[in-house]
Parts: sequence; C-alpha cells; structure tokens
Amino acid sequence: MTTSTSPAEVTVDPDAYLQVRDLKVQFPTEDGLVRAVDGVTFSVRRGQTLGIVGESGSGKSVTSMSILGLHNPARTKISGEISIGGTNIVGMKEEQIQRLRGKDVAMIFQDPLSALHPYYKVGVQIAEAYKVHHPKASKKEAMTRAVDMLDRVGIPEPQRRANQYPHEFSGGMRQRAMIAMALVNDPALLIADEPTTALDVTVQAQILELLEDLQEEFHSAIIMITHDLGVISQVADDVLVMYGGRPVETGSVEQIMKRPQHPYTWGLLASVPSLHGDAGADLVPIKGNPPSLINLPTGCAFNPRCRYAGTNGNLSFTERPELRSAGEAGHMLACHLSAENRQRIYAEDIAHAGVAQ
Amino acid sequence: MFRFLIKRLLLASTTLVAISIVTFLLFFAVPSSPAWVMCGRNCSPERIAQVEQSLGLDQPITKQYTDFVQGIFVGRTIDDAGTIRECEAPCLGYSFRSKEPVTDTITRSLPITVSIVGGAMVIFLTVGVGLGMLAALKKGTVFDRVAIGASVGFASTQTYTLGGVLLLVLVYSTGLLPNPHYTPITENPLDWASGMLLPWITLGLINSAMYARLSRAQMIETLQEDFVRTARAKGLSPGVVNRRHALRAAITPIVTIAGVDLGAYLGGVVITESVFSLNGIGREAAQAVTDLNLPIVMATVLLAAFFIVTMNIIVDMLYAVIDPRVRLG
Amino acid sequence: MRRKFGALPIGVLTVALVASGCSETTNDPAGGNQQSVVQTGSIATDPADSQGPAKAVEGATKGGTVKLLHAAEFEHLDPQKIYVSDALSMATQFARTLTGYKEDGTGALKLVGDLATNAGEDVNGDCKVWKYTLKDGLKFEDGTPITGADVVYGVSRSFDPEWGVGPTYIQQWLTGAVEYNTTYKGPFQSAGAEVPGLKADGNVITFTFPQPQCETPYAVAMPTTAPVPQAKDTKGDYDRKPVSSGPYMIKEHAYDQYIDFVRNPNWDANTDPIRNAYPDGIRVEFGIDAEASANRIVANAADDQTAFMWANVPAAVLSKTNTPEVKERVKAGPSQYVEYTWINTDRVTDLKVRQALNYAVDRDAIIKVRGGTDQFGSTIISPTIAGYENFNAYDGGPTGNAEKAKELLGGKTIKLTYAFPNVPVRQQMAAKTKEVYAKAGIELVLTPLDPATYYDSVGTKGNQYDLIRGGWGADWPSASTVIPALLDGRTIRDKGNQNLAYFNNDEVNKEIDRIKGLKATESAAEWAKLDKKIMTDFAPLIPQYYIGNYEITGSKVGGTFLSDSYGHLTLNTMFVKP
Repeated sequence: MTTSTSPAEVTVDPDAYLQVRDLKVQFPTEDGLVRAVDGVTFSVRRGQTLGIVGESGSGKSVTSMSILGLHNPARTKISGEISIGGTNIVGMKEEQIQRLRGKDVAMIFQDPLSALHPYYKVGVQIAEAYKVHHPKASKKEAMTRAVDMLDRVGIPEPQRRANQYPHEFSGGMRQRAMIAMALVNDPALLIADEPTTALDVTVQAQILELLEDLQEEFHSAIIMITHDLGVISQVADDVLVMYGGRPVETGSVEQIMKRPQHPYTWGLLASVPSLHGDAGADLVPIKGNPPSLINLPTGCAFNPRCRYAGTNGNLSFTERPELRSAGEAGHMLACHLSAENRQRIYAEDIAHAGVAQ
Repeated sequence: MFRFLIKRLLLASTTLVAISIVTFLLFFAVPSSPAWVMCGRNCSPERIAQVEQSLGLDQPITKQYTDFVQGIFVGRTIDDAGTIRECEAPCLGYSFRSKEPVTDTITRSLPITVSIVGGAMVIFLTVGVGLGMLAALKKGTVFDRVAIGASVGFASTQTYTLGGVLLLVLVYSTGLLPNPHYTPITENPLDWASGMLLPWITLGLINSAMYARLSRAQMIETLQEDFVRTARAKGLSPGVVNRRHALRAAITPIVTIAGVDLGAYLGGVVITESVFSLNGIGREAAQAVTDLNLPIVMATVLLAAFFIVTMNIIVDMLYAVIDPRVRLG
Repeated sequence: MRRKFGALPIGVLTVALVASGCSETTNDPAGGNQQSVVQTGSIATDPADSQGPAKAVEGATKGGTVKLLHAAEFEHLDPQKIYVSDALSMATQFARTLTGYKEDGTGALKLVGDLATNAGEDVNGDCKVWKYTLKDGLKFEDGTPITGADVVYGVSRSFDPEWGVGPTYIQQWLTGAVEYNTTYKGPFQSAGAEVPGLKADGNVITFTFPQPQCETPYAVAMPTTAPVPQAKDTKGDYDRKPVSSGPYMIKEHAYDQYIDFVRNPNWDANTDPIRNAYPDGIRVEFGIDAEASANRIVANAADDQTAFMWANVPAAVLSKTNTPEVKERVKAGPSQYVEYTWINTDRVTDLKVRQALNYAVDRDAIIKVRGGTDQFGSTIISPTIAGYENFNAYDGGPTGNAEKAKELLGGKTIKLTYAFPNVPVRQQMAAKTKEVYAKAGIELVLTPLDPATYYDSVGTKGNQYDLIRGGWGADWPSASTVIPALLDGRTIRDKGNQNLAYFNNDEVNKEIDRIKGLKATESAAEWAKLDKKIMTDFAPLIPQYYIGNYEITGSKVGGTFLSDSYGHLTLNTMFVKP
C-alpha cells in the first residue's frame, strides 16, 4: 500500500493480445470538445476476459469502438496506442483496419434486433461476414460455414434458421446468431457490448455461459462492456471501472467485487439487484447524473455525486485524482479518500448493506 | 398475398364507386348546367331544355348514373339530338364539347401526362434521391450544404415560376431547347424526348428538391442504425455498407412516397401541363370542370382515383417485397 | 353581336396564369405596322370582281405550312354553328359562302360573290327577293359538285332548334320572325319540309323575305350559307370534321391538340376571287395560351418562323415587340369592337352634363391602363365599318379637356354612379376614370357588379346607374348591325336591353328607318352621318377607344394583314417566305 503523490505506472502486460496505452478519444462539436475517453490504459490476454464497467457516457463504448477503429477519422481525434496482436491501429488507414475488423477483432452488440439487418436472412448476414475475409470462399461454402456457426452457438435446426429473417428469431436466438456472426472468422479478440442487457434473466445466463464455453474453445480474448456488475462477476477475470471518460478503479474481479475501494464502484455495486440478498428491497441507485463530457467538474469528476467529497480537505474540488495503487498488486484506484477512511467507510456504510458477498 | 389482393381490390372498387357517386352528386349540386355553358348568355329556356335533353341531362340522376355504369360494362347507345352513337364498353360517354367518345379524349391526352410524369420521375428519383443520399454520406461538408441549400430553394419555387423562367431563358431568349411539344414516342423517340425536356427538368427539379431532403434525412437516420454499425464491424468496405446495408433500408419509405406521388401525378399535372402548353389529362380535366363537361369530369376523376388506389396497392405489395417484416393480410 | 373568342373563359387556370403574368406597361407599342384605318370598301358591282383566280400577291410563293398557335380548340367547325371570330377566320378556308370579302391590306374591302357569281341580285329592287347563281366548277373535297341544293341544305340546318349557336339573321329574315323555328325546325326535325322563303333551282338560289333586307349580301357572307352535302352530313359529328368546299380540308383533327389542314384537290382557284391558297398546309396547335404563343413567335425559333396567332399579344410580352425586327412582324389595327361608357339618359337628362362628360374623358390614360394596344376612338362605329368617318364632337385633345367640361357644368360639381364588372382590369380602368373626372369636378361613385350577372343588372330599365361600361362589335362591316341595335329607342324593354343609354329619340328613330331602307351601297355614308348627329346633338354615350388588334407572325410568314371582316390575320393571302 502506498500513499505517494506520484501516480503509479499502470502496468501493461507486454504479452497481451490487446494493449491499450493512454487512449484519448475526443470529438470536436459546435458546443465544445467532447473528451469521451481521456487516458485509458489496459490490456487483455487471449483466453482472458476484461470487464469494462460504467454508466452510459463513461467512455466504455467509445473505447470499444476505438478498438474496432469505427470512429469517423474526420470527426474524431484519437491519441495513444491500441495494439492488436502487435499492430498499433491508431492512425492506421481505413482499408487496413477493415482487414482486422470482423476477422481479428469482432463485436457483439447490445440489441441484436436492431444490430441485425432486418431485410437480410440471418444465414446470409453471417455468410457475408465470413466471405468478406475469405474472398476465395464460394457463396455455398460461406453459407455452410454460417450454418455450422449457428449450430455451434446452439441454435436448433440451423439449416432452416439460416433461411429466416432476424424478426423470426426470439431475443436469445438472435443474440446467439449475433455471436455466431462475430465468431465466424475465429477472432482473437471479441468485444461484447452489453450483450445481455436486452435479454431476460434466464436467457442472460445462457448467453454468458455460451460465451464462456466459446472462449474456452476458441481461446479468444474478450472485453465485456456492461453497466451490470452482476455480469462482470460471472465472466470477468479483470475489471476496469470508468467514470467521465477516465478509469477510476481497476483490478482483478475478486478485488473489485470483494474489496471495492472507490465510492463510485460502491454505488455501482449497490445498484445491482442480482448481488443483493433481498432483491429489490434496498437497491441504492447512484444519485445524480453522469457528468457532461464537455464540461467535467473540476477536481474529481465524481465529486458532485460523491457522499464523501471534501472529507480530505479541498482536494476533491481542486485536484483530479490519478490512478494509484489501492494496496494489493494490480488493484488501482483514483480517489482522494485516504486508505483509512475508505476502509472505515466501506466497513461501516457499505459492507453491512449486503453488497458484494 | 392472394387474400390481400382480393381484399384490396374489393376495397378499391368500393372506393371508385363511392367517388363516382359523389362526383355525380357534386356535379348536379352546382347551381348551373352545362347547357348554360354551351348555350351562351342570350339563351332561351326552351333552348336550354333542348340542349339538356340532347345531353341526356333531363333524365333523373339515378337513371343517368345507371346508364353511365351500364356503359362502362356493356356499352350503351347515346342519342345526341338525333345523332345516334353506339358507344361500346368500356363506354365512359361522349364528351359534351368534342362529341367524341371520352375514351378517345383520354387515350389522346393520357400519353402526354404519362410522358411528362415518367420522365420527371426518372429525374427526381435519380437526381433527387442520389443527391440526398450523397449529401447524407457527406453530411456537414460543403457539398452537403450546397445541395441542401439548393433543394430548399427549388422546393420553395412554384412550377409556373421555375417553368416560366426556364422557358424564357432556355427557349424564348436563347433557343437552346425546342418548344415543349408532344410527339408520340413510337413515332420519334428523340423528338419525344426533346419536346418533353423542359417539363421533365421543371417537374423533376422541383420534386428532386423534395426527394433530396427526404432521402438525406432518411439516409442520415439509417446510417445511425445499429445494423449499419454491425455491417462496418464485420469489416465490410464503406461502399458495401452504404449500398447493401444503408441504402436498401433508407430507400423503402422513398419508394412508398414515390409510388403515391406517381399515382397522384398520373391523374394530371395541371400546372406543368399549362405552363408548357401540353394538353394532358390534367388540363382536359380542368377544362371539363369549367365547361361542366360531365363525361370528361367523371372519367378524369375516376382515372385519377384509379391511379391513386392502384399505386397504393402496388406500393403496399412492393413494401412487402422489400421489407420481410411486412406481411400482407 | 359577334363574340370575340378571347373574351370566352378558357379555363380558370389559364386565366389565373395570365393574370399573374400581367404587368402594367407604360410602353406605347401602338405604331408597329399600323394599318390604314380608312375603310373604303363596299359591295362590288362589277361582276369581274367576283371572278377567280384571286389577284396574285407580290413576292408570294406556293408551298410550306403555316402554323396557328391557339389557346383553345375552336368552339365549332360546323359552318352552321360557327359564330366566334377565330372559327369564322378559319372557316374562310374550308367553308365557302355565297359572298365573301376581298381584301388587299390597304383597307379596301370589297364584298364579292364567292360561291355565287356576284354579291347578289336584288330581283325587284325592293330588297325582298335576292337571287344568287353558283359559279361553274365548284366541288366539295370528295369531288362531288356543289349545287344550289347543298347551299339550301346548309341554311336549313341552321334552323335546328337544338343548335341555334350560329348567327340568326338569315333565319329571322326568311321567316320574318325573331322566333324563327316555331314552324320549320330544320332538316332533322322537319324532314321533307321546305325551308321557308328559300329555293334552289339547279345552280340558282332565291331568297324571298317578307320584309326588305337590303344588307343580304353581307348576311350571306356568314357561314350560314356554306354548302353541306346532305349525304355526308354526320350531324353532331360534323362539328369535328366538316366537308370542305374551300382550298383546304381537314386531314387530321386531334381534338384539343391540333388540326392539320391540307390542300383540297377539288378546289379550283379559277372559281375563287378571294383566296390565293399559297401554303400547302395549315396546322393549328391548341393549348398554347396567348402569352406562350406571343413569346414563341417573338423568339422566332426555326420551328416558329411560319407561326402566327389570332390573339392579341398580351401585356406581359408587349415590351418585347418594340425592337425593329419584331415590330416589323406585328400587325396592329382597330377591330370592329368599340368600348363605350354609356350615359343613362333616364337619369342624366341634362345634355350639358353629358357633353361635359365627353369633353373631360382622358382616353389616353385609359388606353394606357389596358396596355396600349387599343386606339383612340370618339365615334360609335369602328373604323372597320364601311362609311366610317373619323370625328370628335367634343375634341378635348388626347387627354381630354377638364376646363371645357367645367365651363359646361357652369361651376357645379356633380356626383354620378359608375357601374362596371368587378374584374381586375375593369377595376383599374374604373379607378383611372374616377381620377380623370375628378379633375373636371365630376365625382364618380364606383359601383362594381358581379361579372356573371352584369348585363342582366345594367340591362334592366330603371336601374340606378348613371354611367355604365359597355362595348359592341359589328357582325359585318356595316353600321346596320350597330346603330339600330344600340340606339333605336323603340327596342327598349323592361329587361335585357342593349341600349344602355335608354336613349329614345323620334328624330333618330325615323332616320334609322330611312337608312335601313336604302341599298347597302348607299347606306354606309348615311350611317356615319347619323353617328355624328347622335354624338353632337344628344351625347348618350362616351366612345372610349377602338379595341385594337395586335397580332404577330413569325419571320417567314408573308402576305398577311388584319382582316377588316373578322379582325384577325387573314389566311387568304398568307404565304410562307422561302
């Protein structure tokens, strides 16, 4: 445990498949510069799952879009480094990134109904994803592969289903199809952006299980983006908590779930029903709204919503806290609260409320 | 599909019958008689009665209507002041003014309107939709701003203003284009096209403006759709994404509107026809209303209604073809 | 009175378009190719005048096709139904009549025998029996000879009660009754019966009238006397494709679109003293309103160099006709129509006031309101009428003389109501009139009336209007269709009056009777004298202007001029320049 004022160097695993260093994504708009991501560093190895958590506007989705290189370069300023399998894609030409997309990095989106094209048959859409990276494959081969994939993700009668339209699928089936599409090219990295949010709880669990199974099979790295710590607790190896475009806490899933240190993480945990003993009764949503990314509050961006802001002099309002070690190896935190205070508050106010058993 | 067609055709027929009855009633509700129009001011009541008799207007309305309907299905005999006319089915009657079968008037004037509308449509569906789509893809650029600015300008222009200016500049002053005129396409396709050029440009440009704005808005909306993002995430090139994924979805509502517009335009584009001195179906209809020329009024109203109703059915069927989520029933 | 086709409603839309395109012009385009206004014509007495062929036009060549750009389809083409000036002008080329007008563009109009060998033979010298002999070699377009029976059959058709849209002079004169078809109802309803007073014996046709009708030579020039072959009479359908007796026949008639006239191979130029028939064809294109026609002809594109129009160049295009090249192609001149302001003599009984009104009128200002194509006029009859004499009984100069008017009023200020149809151009004219009279101390109370019932309102005796807008056009170039119709006080009825001054003077009535009894050749000058006398002694109206014709041709149209008979560019002498 350290209380030094110099920020600790966030370590990036040099062998990791994906390495993101000091990523900044900004959108100049008429109202001002939107700092959607303002300095994020993390890495994911193959076979590992990183969970990125935060409310909407925290920068988690923007981060994932950057990894796919999906931002319009004309309207986005990106700096830092995104290394995929050893290649830095920041500043890369669109044509080159295209070759990575869907092949080395694939993505699963939140709402499979809107993410699948309503006018094309499911099989055709999967086959298209295969064919674009296997130009030598015939249409028939691509289709066979699509049916195979549908089978692999557990869709019964895949031959028939491939010939149906997305609206003819149930919600869970659609997400399976979406996963099949993402995995059709055996990607080394899979980004799943809220893959279960639109689904009901039982289906959620099935989908998460499927993802885990497939990860084992394909040995891919997974980034799981969600606002739901329940999901994280199920699948993640490491967790990155983001707020206002910046990481506020990061560590192993055990560290974050069992020994969370940041008041924001506490808030997130308190608002997860699946983690409560008594579902629904004492849910504590975080008060207030996520901050504007054009005009972040000075000092700690979380200060307007933080019950403990000001407990450490005026720091919360004047100085932006940097990521420092939270004590254990790999557990990092950006908070002005002193270690003693954090432990005391956690013990008195948070733990007894039943969070994070 | 079959059930849908039967249902819609039944509905369409009912609509047409209702429209024909209403037109008939409205016509006789006007406190004037075609006989007055044909007779001039210094007309004696006796002459009015004679003219009305020769036009068959002395009969009860119900009889006139059943005669009209009978004419359409089995034909009828018309006695015009001793001139006996055998009018074969489908008989829409004889024009009060030209004394020729209404079908002759229609077959002569309809090709003119069809020519105008067809060509204009090609223009506004290519230029208008094309510009709108391009503007959407280049949203925020100078191209986008110019295209949208121009379309706002053209959309607020009236046909007779733009047509008049174009006539003045391109025909009367410089002679760059020939006078608008109609030559059947079967006779001389080149002359047909050159005679139609100005109406096409005028009607085409004004509608292009509307379609450009519509397509732009539609395309911008579609480009924000999740499935477009999915397509890009698959690694498809922007061209494929825009064409196969975005355009296909953005074009659907445009097809609907274009179909309904086509139906409405085929019934006559009165102002365009007038500005360019082309006696299409719209002008015949307008003239017939002034003359109280009942058979032509009936025929043109029914024809216009027929086009609208038919195009609506076609659009609905097209919709089902384009969008698999739509089921006909 | 003959109607002018331009006055007919062509369609709501067209009217609206024209109105929106209208702009006031301060140009004075009058001048152009101003035709002589001195009418020197009369009825031919020399039979040689009636013999064909027509005198060649200098520089004319045969061939080519002339093109008439026209706003709307002719109301009628059946000769017995035609009564509007455009169709009358067209009919001269396919429906020959017993007599016709021979013109050369100098104003020398001569009524000659057309189908007939002369302008008419007054058998007993009492104007009651008229004999016409058809020329030899006359044929219909199908080659069958034209006989007296065909002319009689044609006239008989005009009796049909269900038609009655053409002129009614001959029918009324033959029966001696205004309601001419109470007994004989034409060849369809009275099949087999003879036309009263009309006989044909081979090539000789005899009209026998109960009353003297000294203007028969004029009346038979109307298409009422055009021959119709009974065997080819398609009755109602004849209106679309009449059988030609003139130099051109209809090849194709696409209603509302176009008519193609081609040469009639059976027309013999040697029988025709009037028509040169230079072009090989005449094409009429419908649906081109006056503004579009004028624009096209002014532009003179290759296609339109042989085009011409039978409507006045509208105000919006007038300014473009001022360049020397275009001006040369304009034919301007007075028509047979005269615009009046009637003075209701039942209400304005003081002659001095009526004279003052005549002095104070500013014709120049009013003509300008209308665009400037009309012509200064101070007589009741128009310059196109035989015997016309130009005079101004109250000469206040072109802009009127308010001082003289004030003098006549003796310092009084008076207030008068002025009735006019409530349409834009009439509103503008009324406002100008009010302004003009205000200078002379005469206050006008403007009374706009519903245009649809305007003539019913002002034609009712005892109405409360002091001044009334009106106009009149002669059916043939003789004042007999003007002065008796307008100013014979004995015709005043309770309703439907045309004598809107409600003027009734024994002396004038007697003079009308006297002149009516004169031979047409002698009456012309007498009518003109009576015109002057009425204006000088009674001033029951204020002639405003002669409505001007202002028509234009493409650069390759030659030989034509404004006809004094029907007011439009004549086809008789028209040719296509090489």
